[in-house]
Amino acid sequence: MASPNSKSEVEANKPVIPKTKKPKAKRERVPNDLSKNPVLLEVDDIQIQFAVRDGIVRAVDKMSFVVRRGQTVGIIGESGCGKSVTSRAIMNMIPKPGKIAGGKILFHMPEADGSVTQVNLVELEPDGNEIRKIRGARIAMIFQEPMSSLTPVYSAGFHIGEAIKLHKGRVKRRTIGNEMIENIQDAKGLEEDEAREVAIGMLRKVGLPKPEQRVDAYPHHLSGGQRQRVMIAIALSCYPDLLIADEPTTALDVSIEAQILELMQELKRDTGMAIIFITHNLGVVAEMADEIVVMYLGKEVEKVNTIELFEQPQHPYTQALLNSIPRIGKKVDKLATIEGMVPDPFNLPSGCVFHPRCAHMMPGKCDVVVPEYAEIMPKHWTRCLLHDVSWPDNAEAQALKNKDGSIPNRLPSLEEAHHA
Amino acid sequence: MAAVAGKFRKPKETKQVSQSYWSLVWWKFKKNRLAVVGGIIVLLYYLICMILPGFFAPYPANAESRFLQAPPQRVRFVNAEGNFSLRPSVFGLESEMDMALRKRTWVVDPEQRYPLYFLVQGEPYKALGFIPTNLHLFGVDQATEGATGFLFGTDRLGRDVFSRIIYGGRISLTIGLVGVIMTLTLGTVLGAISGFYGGTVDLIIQRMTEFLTAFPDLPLFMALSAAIPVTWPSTRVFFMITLILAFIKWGGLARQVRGLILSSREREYVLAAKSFGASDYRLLFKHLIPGTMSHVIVISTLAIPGMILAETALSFLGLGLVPPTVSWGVMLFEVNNVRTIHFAPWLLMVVPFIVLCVLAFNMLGDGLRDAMDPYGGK
Repeated sequence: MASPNSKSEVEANKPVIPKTKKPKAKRERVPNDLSKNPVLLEVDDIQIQFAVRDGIVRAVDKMSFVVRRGQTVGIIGESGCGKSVTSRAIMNMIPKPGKIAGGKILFHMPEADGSVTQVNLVELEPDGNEIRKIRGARIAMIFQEPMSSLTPVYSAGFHIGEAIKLHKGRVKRRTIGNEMIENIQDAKGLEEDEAREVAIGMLRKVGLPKPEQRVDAYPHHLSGGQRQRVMIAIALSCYPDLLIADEPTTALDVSIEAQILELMQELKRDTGMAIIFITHNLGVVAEMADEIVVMYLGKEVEKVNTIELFEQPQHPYTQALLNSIPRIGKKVDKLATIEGMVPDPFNLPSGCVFHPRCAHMMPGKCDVVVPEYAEIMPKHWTRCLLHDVSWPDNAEAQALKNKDGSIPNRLPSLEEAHHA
Repeated sequence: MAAVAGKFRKPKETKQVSQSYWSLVWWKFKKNRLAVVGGIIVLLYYLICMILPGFFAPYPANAESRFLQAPPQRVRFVNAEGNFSLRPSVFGLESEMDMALRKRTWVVDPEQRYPLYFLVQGEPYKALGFIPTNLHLFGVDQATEGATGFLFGTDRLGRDVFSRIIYGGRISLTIGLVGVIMTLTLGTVLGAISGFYGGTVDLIIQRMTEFLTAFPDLPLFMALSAAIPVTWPSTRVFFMITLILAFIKWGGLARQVRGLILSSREREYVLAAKSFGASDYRLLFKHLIPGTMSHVIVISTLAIPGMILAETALSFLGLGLVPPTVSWGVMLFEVNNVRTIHFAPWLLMVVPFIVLCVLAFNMLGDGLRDAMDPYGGK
């Protein structure tokens, strides 16, 4: 049965686990090349619409991205740009009155024997058995509000035990070399005290002090950071292939945030799971992600590996986002912001939706032509008319561009642009 | 080095016990004295009336005697010589014809003195429904000819009112408890489903509760009770009455539970539980309903006296339970005319018992309401 051919296939399917370097050892970061890893999740032209009283809001409009095994994909964007809704769509948990209007989300589910089952998550019944077997077991999620993410009447241990029992038999021994894995191997008929053991092991793993006592702690005994650790413990208790972290540190203070991020990095190294990291905090995403998808108004506007994004942002929106990070040692009277407001969802601008706020708006073009999502450099995708090859002779575009065709990092401010 | 190490002794390991929600509730409840008193009274009621009525009542509920409408025999602490004695006793009753009223009345005869004994042998009964015994908490010596101890007098058939209050309490409290449990189950489940699913289900259940609450209570009671066949045995009537009460009263609870579920289903922990693969059933019964329990317990504690009063009202009107069943309402039914109240006012002795019971339940419920929110307030 074990022919060399099938064996190599299994080998090929094994994810490359990225080794995150300790920042002190080496400051230079090299992008993790994970493009050889097998695809885990494929979001393809997904459209999510909310039918509200005033019409239909296209919360996510033809969004596509790919998550590979062991990869961390960061999704960033302003509030209301569709980040969270996208993550809910992956779980097939779109809140009413929203619905998935088109596209597909293919989940390449790795099986224990090395084969891959392909499931279109969008097609599954939202409350059906199949999706419930995937939720928690294959794709787990942690939320923004750790203060209210635990049911107040149950202890931390109960929560973890519940997640494990819901996916009985799912947890298999893996070569992670941690003591509780042996405990849960083939967890059919998991007993109460066994579940407790696993819960304690899990809490120890997420770095909760005195796990033997904290396993009986109720949510109100725990601080925000501790609750988030418990949440992570629940999410990881079934060893998911994909973890969706929806702004997991937004509600925490900065020192706890650093601990939680460190913990997630560590667990990712240990388990080799992929992470979709949703945030609007650029510092956090720089720390965490291998690849970043920038969203604006339900569309991805730029996608590239983290280092290139921060060094060579190509979309004016990304550039503006990066410009708005305050810098230490640089005195400014006013912090940089992106001018204007996110447009009214019922009354979207014509052409490129970002053009009313864009510093590089080209009149007669940006407000007319809808930009295509294009790979402008190797593995660097963006949706901007400045990179539109069909109109390279535009004087304004030319003036702004560097010699190699990219647009410069330091952009003139809006006033400067107007004076020019 | 050893000296330095000694200075920084490791702090003693303290065993930290996590206080569960309920231990916090208990801790706060204990501090509310009025509620504790209410709780003790309620427990006493249940002990006396429901668990051991035969022990506390000196006579069986329907034991008739020749002393018709006898006034209460006061407990006196005198001996045969008329001096103070710790042994309580009652004076005998002598029948006398009141010529002005042309009515037989009873007068106290100090010549006859019947001492009261504790833990006395008396009428046989079955304790807890299965242990045959004849031990009573107190009573007169059965061996003495004609000895009676009617502390609260007797009714028109010569039955001991005190014993009947205890036996009546058994039925009335059971109706309160069973009725509330049924209300609770019906109200919580329907309210929770209504709030959780929303839409058409919600619409149907809400219109149902509105329909029920729109009816004036009393005519609805009357109509439903009138539907009970008169030929039915008293136990079945009793359960039907309980059912009717529960059926009418669930609407209010259902609405409150629905409101609670509506607010808590949007909480992140529901979403989180769902994201771990919990089914709707699990979300509803494991994550949402337990959260409403503190509220439901308070509501039901406060609803029990309502149930008891409803039974009383119904039976008083002659529409609820009927003799030979003894309940507080049935006892009140016997004092539904001025003549009886005038000549046998002691039959109203049941009223203070009802009042005390209702008050105790309200005190308990109020205390629970404060205690169920251990994080807020003082």
